Amino acid sequence: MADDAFTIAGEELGSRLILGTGGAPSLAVMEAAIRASGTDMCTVSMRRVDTTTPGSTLDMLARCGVRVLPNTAGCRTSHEAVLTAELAREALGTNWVKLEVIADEQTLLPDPIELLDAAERLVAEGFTVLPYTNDDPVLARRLQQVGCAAVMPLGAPIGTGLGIRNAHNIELIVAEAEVPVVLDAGIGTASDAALAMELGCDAVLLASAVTRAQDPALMAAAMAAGVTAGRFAARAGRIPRRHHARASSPVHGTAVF
Amino acid sequence: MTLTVNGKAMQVPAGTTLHQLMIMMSVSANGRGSAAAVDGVVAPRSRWENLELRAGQHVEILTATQGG
Repeated sequence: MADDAFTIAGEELGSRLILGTGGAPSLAVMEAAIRASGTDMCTVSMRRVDTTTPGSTLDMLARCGVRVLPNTAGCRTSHEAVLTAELAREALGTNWVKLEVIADEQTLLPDPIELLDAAERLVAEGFTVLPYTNDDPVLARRLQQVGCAAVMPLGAPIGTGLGIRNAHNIELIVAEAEVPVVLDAGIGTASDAALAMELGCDAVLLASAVTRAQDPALMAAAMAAGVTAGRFAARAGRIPRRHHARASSPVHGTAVF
Repeated sequence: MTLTVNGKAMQVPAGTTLHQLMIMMSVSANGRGSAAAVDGVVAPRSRWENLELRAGQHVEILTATQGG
């Protein structure tokens, strides 16, 4: 079961669960969830400085020993996303970015035109680009072609907890991916995370499902177990589905009464 | 002079540098976790000390916070 390293852009990550830090009621709750999840990388957002906010997200993440992945959440255009990524690189000293360019506040769905443009520009600037994208195999292909280090299709819109609405598309994305596929957004509970891994995804990124759970740390542990279970199942190779029963006990040698 | 800092008008002495503004905005001296853009262009930390701001400029100062 060992020897199953997960790498992005040549860098090994110690867990296939990536945790977003948005939505937690406090830094202490977030820290407990991070520790329970065993994650190796957490996302952060870039926002205007607010001197009234207590505590430091970065200090907490440093205590947990996790890698920090800045995102461009809230950006609506390629221009905004590129500038935000540049600021994040300056602030955090990392050229990794979770690229988000959303179309509207109602759906929070990625805007594919702006997303692809931003990805291309950021790759040209030397960023390691991890784009949050639609569950669209063609867009995933185009994102890889412009040099993204991973593709991160949604299971369902951000924060909905609806799970994986189009498993077939996720399988299509996985089938032709040459970079890691990270199921990002829509996860509601541990079985959703397990399904993502069973479909062949390399990792899962989630936030709300943990941070807004009644017991975030316990849900974080559940997600870690779900990801591990799904990964093992994907590697083990499931039995084919059959229409009719197939006995598991020997059919020969049954007694005749 | 008046600047627009994170969307709000702010009075600062003439000749204020970006470094001084960052301290006024309670950004730690080494700036870890924070970054600034002046009129929509990223200002690298190495330039903060010498970057004198001009009246009317728009400064965005961002920091890493909990998020998705």
